[in-house]
Amino acid sequence: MDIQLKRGLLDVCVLAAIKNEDSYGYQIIKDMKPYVEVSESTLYPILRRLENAELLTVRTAEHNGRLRKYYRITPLGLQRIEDFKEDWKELLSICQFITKEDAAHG
Amino acid sequence: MDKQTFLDRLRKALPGLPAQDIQKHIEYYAEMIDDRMEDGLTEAEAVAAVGDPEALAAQLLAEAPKPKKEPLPVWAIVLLIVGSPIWISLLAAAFSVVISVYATIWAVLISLYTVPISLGAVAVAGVVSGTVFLFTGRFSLAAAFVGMGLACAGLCMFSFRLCNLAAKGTVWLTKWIFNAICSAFRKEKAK
Repeated sequence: MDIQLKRGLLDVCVLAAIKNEDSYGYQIIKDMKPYVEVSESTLYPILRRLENAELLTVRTAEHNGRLRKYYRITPLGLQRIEDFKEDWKELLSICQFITKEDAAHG
Repeated sequence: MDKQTFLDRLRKALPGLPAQDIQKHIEYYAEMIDDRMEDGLTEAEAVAAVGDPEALAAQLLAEAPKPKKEPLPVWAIVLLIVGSPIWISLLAAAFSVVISVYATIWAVLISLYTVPISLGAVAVAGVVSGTVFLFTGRFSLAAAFVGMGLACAGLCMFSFRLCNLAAKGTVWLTKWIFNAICSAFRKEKAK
């Protein structure tokens, strides 16, 4: 997939992965796996970006004798998902336009 | 590779970053490796799955935010403003001193020109009176005066050349100092 398109999608995808409950890094990767492959090194800057934009918060908790970072979505993050759903409708109509062109000249 | 080796290599490949950023990076990847091991991978497999520490470090360094130039603290600005009558007048005084020294140098230079001027006058006087003596038949006197006049003429031209050289040299030195100051200021601005 085109990288520019992918970058915007991945941010919202990560937010969607933590929408219903707090999650941690590796779990987010596993949740997204059926839809898109993300590596640790791809996820890390996304998490930092989302935290800087205050779309999620981070907390450290103990798990099996070690520390783990948990990510929680913020109201701003939830809003971002809603905005994306609106954008998606517009995206869909543009897609129809692009693919319709093909069919006409086919 | 085992987990500790991975983390050590990662840490070594991140010099120059702020300590707390390095710590965060290490914690993130340590957590990833631990989670994969919990999922059933061996330590070596988990580390391999995460990636090459040097490559990851290169990526982290590229994404690190650049340090911002610190603006002056408030007390420093206040001090600058409050003290302005003092430092402004001091600056003005220093500037006037420099200007007067420079003007004096030029005054001295210009006064040096009196040497060739007076030599020239003497030369003319000598040749003129020598010619008069010639016509009144006093040949030895005529020869002496004309000779002296001609010598002075030579000295006049020579000293004139010297004065010009001194003047040119001073102009050149002025330009050079001026340029040196200007480029020093430009370097400060560019920093």
